[in-house]
Parts: sequence; structure tokens; C-alpha cells
Amino acid sequence: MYNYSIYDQQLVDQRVFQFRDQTRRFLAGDLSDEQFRPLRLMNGLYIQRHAPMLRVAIPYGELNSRQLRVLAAIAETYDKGFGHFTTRQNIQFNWLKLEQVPDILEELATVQMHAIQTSGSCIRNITCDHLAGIDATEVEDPRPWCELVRQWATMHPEFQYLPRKFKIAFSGSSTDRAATMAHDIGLKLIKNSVGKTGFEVHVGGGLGRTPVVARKIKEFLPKSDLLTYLEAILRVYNLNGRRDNKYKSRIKILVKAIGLDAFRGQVELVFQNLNPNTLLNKNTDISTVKSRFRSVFPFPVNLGSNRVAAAEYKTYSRWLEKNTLATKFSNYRSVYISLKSPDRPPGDLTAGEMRFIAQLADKYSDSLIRTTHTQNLLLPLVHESDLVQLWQALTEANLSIANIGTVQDIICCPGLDFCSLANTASIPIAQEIQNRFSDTDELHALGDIQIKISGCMNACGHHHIGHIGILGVDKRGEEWFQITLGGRADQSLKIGDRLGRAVDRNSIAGAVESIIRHYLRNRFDQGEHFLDTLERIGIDSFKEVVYG
Amino acid sequence: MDNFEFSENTIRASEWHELLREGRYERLNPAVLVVAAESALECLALPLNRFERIVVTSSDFNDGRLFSIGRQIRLLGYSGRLTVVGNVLPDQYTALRSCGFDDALICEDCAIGGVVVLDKALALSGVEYPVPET
Repeated sequence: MYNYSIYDQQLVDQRVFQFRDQTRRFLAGDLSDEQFRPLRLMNGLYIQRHAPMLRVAIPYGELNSRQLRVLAAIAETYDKGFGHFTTRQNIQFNWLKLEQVPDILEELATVQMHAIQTSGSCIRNITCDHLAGIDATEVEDPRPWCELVRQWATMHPEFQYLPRKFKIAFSGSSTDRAATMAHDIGLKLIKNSVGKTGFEVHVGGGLGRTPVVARKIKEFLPKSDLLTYLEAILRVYNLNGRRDNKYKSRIKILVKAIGLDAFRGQVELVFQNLNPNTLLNKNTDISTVKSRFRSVFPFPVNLGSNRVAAAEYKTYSRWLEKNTLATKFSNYRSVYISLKSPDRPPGDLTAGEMRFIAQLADKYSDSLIRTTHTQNLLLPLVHESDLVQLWQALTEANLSIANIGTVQDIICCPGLDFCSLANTASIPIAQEIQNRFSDTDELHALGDIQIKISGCMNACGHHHIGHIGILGVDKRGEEWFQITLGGRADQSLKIGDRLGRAVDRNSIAGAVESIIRHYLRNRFDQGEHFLDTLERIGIDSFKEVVYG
Repeated sequence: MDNFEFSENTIRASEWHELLREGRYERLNPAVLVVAAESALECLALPLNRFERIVVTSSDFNDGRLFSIGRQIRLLGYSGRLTVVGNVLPDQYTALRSCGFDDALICEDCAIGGVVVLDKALALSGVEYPVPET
């Protein structure tokens, strides 16, 4: 995990000072709502349905136990005792008071955390494959590159007032777990034909009301050119992106409007006149960044009892199969902690649970925790001899539910329960679907099915790229739901196809159940994935079971 | 901007571009080039160093083109005085300075009126935040 330099700490401390001053001026009437809006958004502060919501950055999803304890304290002191993990690996607090936010930021800064650029029309928190650095198949660990870009993008003087928000994601593996192709810029570490490592650069992806799969703008970018190339893309976008219509102001619309080749041409023109020495906001280099990543691996293990009672063996085996993964380090596995179950809004964690997980991380995973874009947590490296003890501890805390990748592992936005933009509820829909598939044997027999729910067109729940996507729409004041099938978020990212007309609030969970049961009846065998069955029998076959 | 005074020494980038295209520019010798944020791209193809001053105008403090225009003008080698005219917030002074602007002429309905020399303003505005030491 990256450790702040003196410079990093100064910058975060000064941002707290700055925001305290901005908040004071706003509350004193020296800044209007309009003037304060971009300043607070750049600091992760939204005005939501019930109260201001603060989104705290978890850069590329890495946390340590000390940080998680501070998040727990914030949840308890300033919120209602819980936090919500998002699809961009951040955490949100929903019940804050504006005047307390500077104090919260000050507390975050004590553990090298902040809320800078977690919202607003600027470069947002950088996201990354949650298995970075531990996946045996990856080309190179992308985290130092994420950190380099994070530092460059943080309070970049040129790119604080872009036409619209700007999201960058990294992957170092051929398996894309960060939905990079759904980002404004997706960066994949690859090896070229002569074995050199660099970046394949994709641009113009995004979900929202106009879902677009990112397109390849650069086949191979040498690593040393990363920041200059990003600067070129951002400058072309900043100068040319539309500002007259917020629904048409993302980079995907610009790329579509002028065409990829023309866009690439403009970027190359700017890029050729840049060099690394003229970059603004570049205060470090990749070797310095790498040197600040703490690595104490291998760390001590506990060597306690690893015996599982016969009656519990099946449950333990399921957990081992579903919630743990082999890593590139022999004898160490990654352990997912699912934040999905019918009794928990997807992605929510209480302060008590945060402290408990921090304690487990200290004991079993070198104090490290990661957040995933699927709104779960991960203990990145746990020694195999500690797995049984860890499982037992998680089970006692009701955190060992073995449903990673199943229909219960639903990605879901906060919806109407919290969000002022939402048309419909999302969380209750997720819970109804989860309840319909609560039989553990059936859940596992179904295999990997990703359900994603958004309460409005902004698509925070990534519904376009769910195997089954659900979008909440408002029809004359009533909640209705559109269903899409066949989307996917991996390296073959695809936007799902709309099944048909929207279904009403009382029918949506049943419709999803019908779709899944139809798949079960029609799949070739247990090995045939939902998407393969869908492709083989066609979407019309699913239409019939939903609409009759 | 309405409150920026145009004189015989002043020319808009769009007009200058036209004169250049028609080869009629040699007889004129304006000292100030005025670039509107929305027509910025025109100015980037012009020989800029003949102007003593370049003024970039913007009516909306949310219009981030200002920053890229300033930066691009400096990257093209312009060494004269670079001014922003319009609606900018004191909170933006540091970024404007970093992007190459020397001063700002703030419109009347904004919090601070008149000319702000950015280097001085950074020390006086009360919302200046020290640049971290590396």
C-alpha cells in the first residue's frame, strides 16, 4: 500500500484548510449556492434527498485497518452508524451536517485519506482491478501507475473545471475486473510484440443515459508517456467538449461527434508538443512512487487450529470455493467479504463491522483491506493455514455469506432511499430478488449471474453491463422498471439489450426470477453460463416468460 | 466581456484571424489580442508574440476552457502579459496563475471587482493556500 510523502500530507492538510474556509464563506453568505457548488462537489459533498452526502476517496480501492477504524468512527460520530461502499471503490456517508464536514476531512487527513475529486466536473478517484499485484496472470501491478496518475490529477490546475466528470480506470490483467471499457479513459497494461510493457489506451466509454463502450485510441503507449498522453486527451476534451448541455458533455459524446480518428488526430497534435518536463502538477516519478509502496510480504501467520467440524464442512467448502481465490503467492489466498445479503443494503457496512474487519485484517492480512467495484471487500492475502479461523470469525459476525458472483451479489445504487436524482427505489428491489434465491444449494447451482440495478438513467448501479440489468423509470409518478439482458462488464464489455416494455414495482422481482428459472430450464448443463444460454436460445425466448 | 474596453490597440482573435487569412494584417499593429473562451481554438494558430498582452474572456467561472487556453498559449511560447477577464472566483487564482495568467479583471457583479494581479492576490486574498513543498 502507498504511504504518503510529506508533500502528499501537506496537500491533503491544505485542502482541509481550504474547504474549511470555503464552507465558512458559504455559511456567512460570501459565496452563493452557485459559487459554492463546484467547490463542495470537488470535495465530494453532494446535497442529497435527506442530508449532505460525503463521498470519501479510497484510491484504487486500497485501505488499511487504521483507515477503516477512522471510517467507523466517522460513521458513528457524524452519520447513523454505517457507510456505503460504491461501484467506484469509494465510501459514502449519507447523513452529515455541512458545518461538520471540515472536521470530518481533518480526521480523514490524519490517516492519509480525503474526499478530493470524488465528485464534480474533474478527474475523479482512480479505480483499479481489486486483484492488482496478487493476480498470477497480470502483466504488471497497475497500482503504482494509479498512484502516479492520482497525484498528477489531484488539484491539477488545468483540469478542475472540465465539461463534465472524468473517470479513469486501470487493469494489469487480461481479465478485466475494473470495467475499464466503461470509463472515460481505460488503461490496460499489456506487452507488445517485442515483449515491452506499456498501455493500451481506450477512450470515450461510459454508462449513464448514453452507454458507450470505450474505443481503442492507442495500441501501445510507452509507460514513460503516460502522463503526457493523458494531458493531451484531457486538454482536447477540456477545449472541445460541449458545455451547453450536461447530457452531451462527456468525452464519449465528443469522440462520437467528431469521430475517433479525428479525435485521435487532435490528441496526437497536442501530445507531440508536450514533454514530461513541462507537465503541470507532476511532483514525483514512478520509481519514487514505487518506493513508497509498503511491502512486508510474507508476513507472520497465526498457525492456529484449522479443523472444521464435519457438520460445517459443506458450508466451509462453499465459502472457500465462492469467496476465496488463489493468488500468485503460493499458500496465500484472497478472501472476499460479501456485503450482499437480503438483510443488508448492497455495499453497506456498520461501524461495528468496520472495526471487526479491521481487527481481522490486522490478524490475517497484514492490516490490508480492498474495496471492489462490485461493492464487496477483500482481504488481499491470507495464509491458507489461517482460512478456517478467519471463516469462523466471519461466520460469528454474519459476514461469511458465500455468494460472491451469484445472483445475490447484486450491484445496486442507493436509489430513492437516499439519492435526489433517483426515479425509483433500488435497495428494496435487490432485497426482494435476493430473498427469492435464498436457498444456498440453488444459489450455487445457478452459477455466476450478475444483476445490476440503477434507480435512474445516471446508471450508478451499472445496469447496462449486468447480465441482467434493471433500470428504474418514473411513469406518471409511479415506479416502473426496464430490464436489459446480455450486458457484461469484463474484457468483452457489452451493453445489454432491452427486453421489452417496463414492468411495474410489484412485478419486477418476479420477472427477474422468471428469467433466471427459464435459464435454469434451458441451459445445456450446469457448466453453460447464463450469457451462453441467452445467446443460444435468444432474447425472444426470455420475452415470452416475462410478458407471456 | 462587456466591461472590457476595446480600443484601436485591441483586436478580437476572430477578426485577427480573418485579417491574417486575407493578408491584410501588416498595416495594423494592435497590442492586445482578445480571445473569447468559446473561440479559443482560432487564436492557437496565430503568431502570438507580437502582442503585448493577450486577454482571455469568460462569463462563467465554471468554464474550464480558460485554464487550457492559458496553458496552451504559454506552451506556444507566448511571453507577454496574459489576462483573464470575467467571472472568476478567488479560489481559482492559484490555478489561473499555474496555467500562465498574470492578472485577472473581475467583472462587477462578482465578489471582488477590479484588476487582480494574481501574484499579489495570492498573498492577499485570504483564500490563498500555500503550495506544498516537495
